[in-house]
Amino acid sequence: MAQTAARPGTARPEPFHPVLVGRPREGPITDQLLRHLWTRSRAWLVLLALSGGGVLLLLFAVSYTVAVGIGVWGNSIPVAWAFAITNFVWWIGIGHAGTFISAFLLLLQQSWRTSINRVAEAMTLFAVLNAALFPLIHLGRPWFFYWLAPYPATMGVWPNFKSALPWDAAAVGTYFTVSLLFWYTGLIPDLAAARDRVPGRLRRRLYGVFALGWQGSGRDWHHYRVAYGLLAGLATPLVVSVHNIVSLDFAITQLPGWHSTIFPPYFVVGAIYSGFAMVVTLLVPIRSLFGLQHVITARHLDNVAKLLLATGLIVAYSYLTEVFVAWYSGNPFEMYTFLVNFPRGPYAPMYWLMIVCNVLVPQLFWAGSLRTNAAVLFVASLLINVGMWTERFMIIVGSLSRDFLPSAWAVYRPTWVDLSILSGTLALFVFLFVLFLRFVPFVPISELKELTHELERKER
Amino acid sequence: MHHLPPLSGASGLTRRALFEWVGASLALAGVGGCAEPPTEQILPYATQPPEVTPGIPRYYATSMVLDGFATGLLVESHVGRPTKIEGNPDHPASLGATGAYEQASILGLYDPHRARALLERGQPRAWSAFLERYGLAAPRSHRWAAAGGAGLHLLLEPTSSPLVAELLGRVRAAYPRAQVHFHAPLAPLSPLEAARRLLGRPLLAQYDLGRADVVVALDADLLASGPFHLRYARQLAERRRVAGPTDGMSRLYVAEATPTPTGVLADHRVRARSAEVHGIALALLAAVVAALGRDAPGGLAAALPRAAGPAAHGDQVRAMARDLTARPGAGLVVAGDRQPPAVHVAAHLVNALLGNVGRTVWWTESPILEAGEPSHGLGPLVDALRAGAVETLVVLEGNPSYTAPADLELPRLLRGVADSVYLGLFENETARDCRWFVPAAHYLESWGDARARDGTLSPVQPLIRPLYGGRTVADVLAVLAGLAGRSTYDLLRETHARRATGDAAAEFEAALREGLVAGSAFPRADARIDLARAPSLLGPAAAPAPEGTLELDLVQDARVYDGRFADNPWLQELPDPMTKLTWDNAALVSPRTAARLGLANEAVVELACRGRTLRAPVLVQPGQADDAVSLALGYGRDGAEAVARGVGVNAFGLFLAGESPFFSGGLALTPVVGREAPPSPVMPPARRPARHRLAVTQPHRSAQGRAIVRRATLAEYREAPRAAPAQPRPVQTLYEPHRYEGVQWGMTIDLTVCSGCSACVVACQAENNVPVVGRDGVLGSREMHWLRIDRYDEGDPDSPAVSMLPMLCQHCERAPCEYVCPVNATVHSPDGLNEQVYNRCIGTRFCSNNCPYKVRRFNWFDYNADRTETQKMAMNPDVTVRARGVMEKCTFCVQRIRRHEIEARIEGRPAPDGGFTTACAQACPTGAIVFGRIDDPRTDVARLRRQPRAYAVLEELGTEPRVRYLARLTNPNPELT
Repeated sequence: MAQTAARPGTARPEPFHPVLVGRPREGPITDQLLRHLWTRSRAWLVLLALSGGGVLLLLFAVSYTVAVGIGVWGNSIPVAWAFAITNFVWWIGIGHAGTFISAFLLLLQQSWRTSINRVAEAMTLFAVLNAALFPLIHLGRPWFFYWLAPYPATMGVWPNFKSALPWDAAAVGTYFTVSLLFWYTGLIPDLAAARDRVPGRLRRRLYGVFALGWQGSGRDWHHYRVAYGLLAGLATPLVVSVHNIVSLDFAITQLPGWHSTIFPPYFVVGAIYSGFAMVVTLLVPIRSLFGLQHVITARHLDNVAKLLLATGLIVAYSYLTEVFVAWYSGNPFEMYTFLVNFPRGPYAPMYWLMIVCNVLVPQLFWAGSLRTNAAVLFVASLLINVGMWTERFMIIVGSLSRDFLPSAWAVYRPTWVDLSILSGTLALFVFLFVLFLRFVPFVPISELKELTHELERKER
Repeated sequence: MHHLPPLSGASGLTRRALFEWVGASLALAGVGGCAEPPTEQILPYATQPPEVTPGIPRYYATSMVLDGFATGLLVESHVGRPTKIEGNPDHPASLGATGAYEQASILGLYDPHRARALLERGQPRAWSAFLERYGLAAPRSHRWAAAGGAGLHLLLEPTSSPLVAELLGRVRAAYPRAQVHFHAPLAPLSPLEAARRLLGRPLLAQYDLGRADVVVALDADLLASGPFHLRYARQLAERRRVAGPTDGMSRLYVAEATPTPTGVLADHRVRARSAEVHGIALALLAAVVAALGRDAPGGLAAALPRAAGPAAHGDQVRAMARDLTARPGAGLVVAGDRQPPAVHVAAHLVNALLGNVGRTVWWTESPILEAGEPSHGLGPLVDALRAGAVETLVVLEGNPSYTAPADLELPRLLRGVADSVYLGLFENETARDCRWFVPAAHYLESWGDARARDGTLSPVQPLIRPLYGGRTVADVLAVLAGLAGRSTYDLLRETHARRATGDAAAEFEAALREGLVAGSAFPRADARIDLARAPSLLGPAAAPAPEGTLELDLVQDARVYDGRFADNPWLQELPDPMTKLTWDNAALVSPRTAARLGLANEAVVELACRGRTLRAPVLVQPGQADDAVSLALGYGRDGAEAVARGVGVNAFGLFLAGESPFFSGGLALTPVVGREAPPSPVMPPARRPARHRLAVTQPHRSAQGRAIVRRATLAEYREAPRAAPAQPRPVQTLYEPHRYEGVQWGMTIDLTVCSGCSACVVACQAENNVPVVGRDGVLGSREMHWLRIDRYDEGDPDSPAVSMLPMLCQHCERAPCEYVCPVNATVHSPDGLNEQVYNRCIGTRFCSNNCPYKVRRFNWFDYNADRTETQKMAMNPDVTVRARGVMEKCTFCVQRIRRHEIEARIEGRPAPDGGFTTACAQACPTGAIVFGRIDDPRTDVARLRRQPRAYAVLEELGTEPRVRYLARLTNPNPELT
């Protein structure tokens, strides 16, 4: 499908991938992109059941934790944070790509974002939902979680604003709210399209309710554009701020491996990196399952792969900087953490797995043919997902297990509850996504049609 | 945590008896906070006893007795409920300090597994039935009653009690042919035997470490075991505490196989197998004789072998000898109780030759009844049992079925006795082998008396009525003596009245109030060493064992003693002072021996020695003598004590009667290969080395080159006394500094005198209601101790320089925990405490992550949910019992601070003036921990903080702790460095 076109000024011809293959007519493309709303599928039911089973496991493991105590996890003193916070940071990171794609790229007027932004935004929502679960359940007394919120309590005690955690709760909450609004606003025209086409009274009513009476009038479009643009403007700084603040959960401490000024940018880049990896993990199967190769084209894969390469290089640079600064500081605790504990300590296999996945794997994408190879991208994205989880595990568990006084050092071992919650949270993500794919138009139809028209106008 | 033990054989009860027992157990179950179930009429607490104010604790003096020796205590009591043990400052065995056993005994009192029923062959019986059978009126059924007691045998633990002596005398008067035996596996027999041989009388050597410039301990753990260890620790510490560069220190040499707290404080520690110590003692004696030259009494010099013992330690021994001879009259050589009499003889001879006798060492009578006589030891009893000459055997406390040397096969013999009685706290191994079982009273429930090691008479007075109707040794002896109608209290008063010089009642009450009879210590005995006989008593030193043969060393355990404290969860969870092992014992081997035999930690090995075998896990112990394998006694219990059961391995299986039961050569050690279930049925089972996970609280011993423990020799200190920079680096901060008002609290810990004995750890646990997490909890690194003792090894891993570092909340001025808590649950008080507000804490654990000392403890579960009613009685009512999901940590015993502030306010004083201290500081035998006001420059703690060797751990982080450590000083012999 790749067409090659020589460009003036470049010595070597570079493959050119269009944003949209063909110029679909409005009726058929709308039907194609909405058909899943009323088509039953066995495969869908199987996936739903499988992931639903995982959700039940998550429910059980969380209930067990709340009923009996955090002791059912493998956490200890010194490793007081482990899987839960690793999962939290990992999911929050994944939640970054969606908003980055839809808001950041919208403001930058990148036309290739159109076909994939809905999926990416849904991914963001579900990832943040998963992430938000962890700060809650990792509390010793989760029923008092609301003490993190600044409300005028009768006890007369406010949260401690010096701590990163109240800010963290606020940042994640804000991010989720804005992401949800942004996603929903973008959905309204497509929900209206679904309302107009979906068979059955009840479904039509339901979609009608969620379409908020959208008529497609000029006035509607005007308001829609203003709102969408404003929300994009609001969401964009949040992409940067959320993971900045999450990184402060670590950076404000003095723990070697946490205590670092590089954390805010490093975390944001890592988050976008992992988010794009997850986008690929989701898009590649959706693209082939729903036959959307003409809508989600090699151009999309190529661009995402380039972003993976770029962010991957920044992540690699951050790793290097951390090690260099640890050495250059002459601080024995920092040096021990980065030069001994991580590469040679009890979690060394995890550390080297992280280096392979996060540093070496994206180097594949220097090759153009690999960037557009869906299978390679898919496998690489899975490896990067694993690598990014490992990175957070190393930061949290690796640093905590060996800090200042060797007398307190201990190795963390996860229990079956830890592993159940990790697999359960993955299942919850899949579960929500499977529901999303069935009941929500997952490619923005109106935007795609707009893109078609724009392209046709240009071509004319 | 554990269910109550079932009433043995309750199935065979009659209906009436069943109802009696159900009623009794219901009554027992309902005690909750009261002293005793009401058996008679219940009266409301309408008229408050004048001396009891709810909320104000009272202290009573009593004594805890271990193998016959008393340690004087003050027990805190809340409305009739004892909650905390402190040392009696006036008592010579305590001097105000306590050890781990004393501290933990409060939990032993409330142990829910204690026996509650008097049983005959497992069937409940009434006390009256026992009285009928054994009281003077009834025992016509026994043949011995008519035969002047022939066939009646009594087995007691060694005792120093005048009351018990009196009652035993009455039993003997009634039954002159009855035989009395004394047995305790760890009771020191060889020192008395040595004295009997050398002095002609079994006298007890008394030591004054405070007057010794040079101390040589030959396999003697002076500072952490034995009846006077608290006193010796204090005396040694006083001679080693350095206030400034001009101060001197005494010098301590230790020769031992496995490291002990005494070895930790040693300036020179000679790693020697226990069998080598004899050679070292002789070499030392020979070197001293040689150094004295012409002055040495004739005969001795010629009789001694010229070769100065094992060449390996020759330099050290010669240096010791020169050091000792350079300070005649100010040296002290002490041989350990485990060593055979010949070693003691050699030690006494060195002391005598150097004029130390009368200054640092002297003799007194032993306070133990019939000390040095053949009644001590199981030999005669076993002979009688084998001959079938025992009709009735009365075992009063102890646990001989478990602790008797294995080759005597005492359990089998006991089961063969038709009529046997056992008085014990638990339905243990011995209870199983005896016909009658009488539940014993805990010492905190008993009237009695005992003597300290120097003879000081100390009363034992109850703090509470027996929880389970237990009886004392004196109660049972009174029955046998036909005094069943008399109360032990009356008998005790009578016994003391006979000794009284004036008003007997007033003297008795004074003794109860003070916890001792003033001036009752034994006078110095006039003993003369018969130098002519001495050479023949020295014995031939064992030939050096050939390279690669192993020695088995059975050692006293720092936590369960001889197994009697094995049901105490505080002690089981107390990390061993040296190995940091909890909930287990292990075969300790040196790194070099482990490498030679290809052993690693946790590998299970089979120990074969003297025809007996035992399986135990291996723990590599730096500082252990090569080729010596040490195993602690007291584990592997299988009585009815639910906590003790199945913990560790029973080293008494290798404990055999003889001259030196505690060590022997010829040990064979083979790794055990376990069979593991294959991962799939088609594969053969894998044969892998068997492993047993050991719950060690501190696996990392190296400080990684970090200046956590600062150490110096005395000479280095004199040149450069500062342990920390004179001007601390200014700390820049965005936050406003704390506003301090009024009194400021602080602590110093002198690492020079901290031996790591761990009494403070249990004291803190008792004072602050610190829960126990069990073996799995420790394996998961979740131990709850607010205060832990870190051990750091430096130098050669075979023979490291060991330092102990008590680590607790440092109460930082700039506390890293405080600013990260999202809910303000950990805050700073105006008097400088870092406070934890339990009911504000939501359990994010952020504070622990940011604590560089990792001293915060998290309630992973509801650790207090399963406490039984009696266990609840052990709780300190002044300290919150923490809920699940909250963080906790050392509070500087804030409850004590506030109590004394309130008292000061009531009395109109401006501020507490240091009439109290924290639980850890109060227990500390060496006075290493000092707590007090740092705002008043005259206090001890303020003076110590100003010392140049004061430093803060991790001060480079800018946390500015309120706890300061004084750098560890040693005083090595310049000849050996």
